[in-house]
Amino acid sequence: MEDQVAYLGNQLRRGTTKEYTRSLHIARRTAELLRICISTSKAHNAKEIIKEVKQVEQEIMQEQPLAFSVGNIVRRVIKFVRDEEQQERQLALEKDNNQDNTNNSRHKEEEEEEEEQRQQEKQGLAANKKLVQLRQSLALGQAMKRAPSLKSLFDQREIEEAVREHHEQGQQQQPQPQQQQQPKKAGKQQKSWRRKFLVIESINDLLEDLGESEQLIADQSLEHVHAKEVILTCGYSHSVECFLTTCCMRQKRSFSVIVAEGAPKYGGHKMATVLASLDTKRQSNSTQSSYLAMGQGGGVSGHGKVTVTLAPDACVFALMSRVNKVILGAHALLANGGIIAPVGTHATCIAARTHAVPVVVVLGIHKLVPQLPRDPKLDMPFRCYSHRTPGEIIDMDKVVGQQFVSAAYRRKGQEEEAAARDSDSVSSPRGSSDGGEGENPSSPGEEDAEQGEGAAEGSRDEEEGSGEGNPRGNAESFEMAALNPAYDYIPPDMISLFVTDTGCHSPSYVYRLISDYFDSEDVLLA
Amino acid sequence: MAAVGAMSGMAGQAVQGTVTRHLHEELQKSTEVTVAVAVIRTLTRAIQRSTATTVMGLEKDLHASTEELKRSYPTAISVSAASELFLRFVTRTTALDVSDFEALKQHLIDRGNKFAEISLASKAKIAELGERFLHGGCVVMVLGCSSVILNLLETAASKGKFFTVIVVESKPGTEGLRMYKALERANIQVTMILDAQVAHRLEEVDMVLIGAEAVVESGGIINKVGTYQMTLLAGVKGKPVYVAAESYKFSRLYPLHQRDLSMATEKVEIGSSELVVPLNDYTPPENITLLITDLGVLTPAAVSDQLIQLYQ
Repeated sequence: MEDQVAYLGNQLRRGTTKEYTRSLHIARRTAELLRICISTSKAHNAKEIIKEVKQVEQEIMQEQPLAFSVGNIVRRVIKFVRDEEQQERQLALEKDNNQDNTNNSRHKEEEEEEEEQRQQEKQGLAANKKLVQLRQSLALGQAMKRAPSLKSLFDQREIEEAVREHHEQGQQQQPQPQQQQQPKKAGKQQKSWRRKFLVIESINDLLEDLGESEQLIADQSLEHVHAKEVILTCGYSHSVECFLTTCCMRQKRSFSVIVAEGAPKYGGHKMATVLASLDTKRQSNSTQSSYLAMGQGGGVSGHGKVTVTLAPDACVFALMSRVNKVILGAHALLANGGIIAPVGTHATCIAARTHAVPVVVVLGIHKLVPQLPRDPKLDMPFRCYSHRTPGEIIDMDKVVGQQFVSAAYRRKGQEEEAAARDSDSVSSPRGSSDGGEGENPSSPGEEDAEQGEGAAEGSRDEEEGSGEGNPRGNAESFEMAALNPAYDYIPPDMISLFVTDTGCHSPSYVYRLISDYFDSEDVLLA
Repeated sequence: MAAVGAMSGMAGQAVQGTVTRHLHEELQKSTEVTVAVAVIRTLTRAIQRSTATTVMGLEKDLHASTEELKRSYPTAISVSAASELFLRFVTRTTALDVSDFEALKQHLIDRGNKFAEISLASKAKIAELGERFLHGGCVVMVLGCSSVILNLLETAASKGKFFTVIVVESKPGTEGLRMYKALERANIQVTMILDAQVAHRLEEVDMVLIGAEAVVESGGIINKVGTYQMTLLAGVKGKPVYVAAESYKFSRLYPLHQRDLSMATEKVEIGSSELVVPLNDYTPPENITLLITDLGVLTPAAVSDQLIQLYQ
């Protein structure tokens, strides 16, 4: 099982396989892994199982702190385990209470019968000892189940005392019946099996939900996309693609979509292509069917018509006045109702707010992270969630300086590339000595980091470079910083609605989802 | 704390019943005690004094004491919130265990006495949660002199965090001065500004931290007058507003306007004329970003959920 964990961690880090880039697939893999982990675990009680599960999470998350779905699924499984633990404790309490009752019942039986006759018609007051104690233990169980709340403000000590008393009673009873110790142990082992079986059942339910999540979200598309509406979306998101495709194909709505490119990954190109090809599917279908080939408009053959427009990110504000609705995907949903989405989404949301266009975010509930945003303002680039390579924006030569790049090629053994780069700088001096030196904007941090790396290499390069006649003060070799943040944080007041596989929720309701799916102990903000 | 000062001021006007007298004594005992803790201690003493021999009798006595407290301090919301909470707790406990009356009474008294410890633990928990919101080099704006906020800032400073505090003068009462002195003693960098300077200095501020006298069901808060103003301005400037309040301050009020609350007022002299000035104002939940409580960090929407759980 350890190699499976290592494998998952490795795959996440590389992020190449399709299976390990989508949060849904990561979540599914994690759930399956945890199922194996729990079923093969030899732990005797819930605490040890939780420890094992947390260890698995740590191993996986070491390399990929942004794969939130791993943490989410782990915490949900921990909640299953804790729920079973509480049920077990509750049953144990009831059992003890019943045992006490049978001891005392002999001299109280008559009293109870009289009281029962008196109280038979009244439902509220329970003078019956058994009922009272049962209610007590249920209240205990209920209070223990809940997160710290106003109720438990006074009850917490009560609960602790009661639990301590029961433990003490149990310990007092144990030294007496020494013969019963072995059957007790067997009883414990039997109990842990029962509990594990139930936890594994819950994980199976979770896996089923994960499998259905995309379809459940897409089924709600009819309520949100109306005929002839103009939808705007940013970049590429699997959930949004499924959402809009289902709306067009299965539910036969006709609408227009404006797709923002989503630089620097340009996921928008893929999204636009996919959505536009829905039209060709429609056309090809209609040519295949005989008399329907005469029909020109959409909808006759049973599909809606989707008109797709691809636009650069910079045009989003200009186009927003013509948009009816913005539909977005997200990477994670945070505990305060904000989302983490690919970069550029925040700008779109601000444009939407200015034009009073509702923003609908489509995501599976497995993306719900029990965590608050790191920095609510998040307008400082270095507090952003992660950065990608600046090479996506501009050639690495311009970022780290040509000597570094040539040296890197030389190290790889690609002499031609290195020579080409060197000769470029020598053969085409553009005489723009001002332009070459001027490009060193802001962000001392990133520059220092790169210069720190490049300085060690650079000094070596200098010697080599000077040997080959590549002067350092050449106009072409300059360095600049290129920031490539991967994600944006969008605060909850910019979002109108979340469409998830459990239904539609407003951002102010997210706290409730957190308390439903996660234990308060695991929530990082508590 | 403004509340304690106001209460002592109001006590002189009130009819001096036994319970009220006890509350006054509790408040005088130490300057650190919060109104809620004092109220609950007073009610615990009322239980001790009670000569009832049945649960119904005990509850009746307790009701009477609560009513007397509310009559003496009609405008102190913390009094009504704390006494409601204690009453609720009593009724729920008595519903469970009906066997031994004396044991029940003792149990209630023990719980009431332990409440002071719970309140101290709440402050510590809030400090632990809240100091995570302060990042190195941040500038915090603070209003009035809330012991919870003071504790939070002192805890953060003791953990080595570096931050700057801007304290608003908070007239009437000038509690800002007390806060300023306390923060100086804790070696925190602090400046004091006029009430009128709030908008002037908001642009350099990273967050606004305020305490609360009561947290109402909508998720809004009731706090010293000037809070609403500051949160409105902070919202316009895009600065987050964090409220630190213990959970026993949650109250079942649901005000819609400022005048929905019977406000405590104070007489202030300006030159030769006298002004009647309200002591508190109501801040609606839209202006609040997050509430830091001992139940965790809550969004304003989550407050009503907590109250429903208690009063179910």
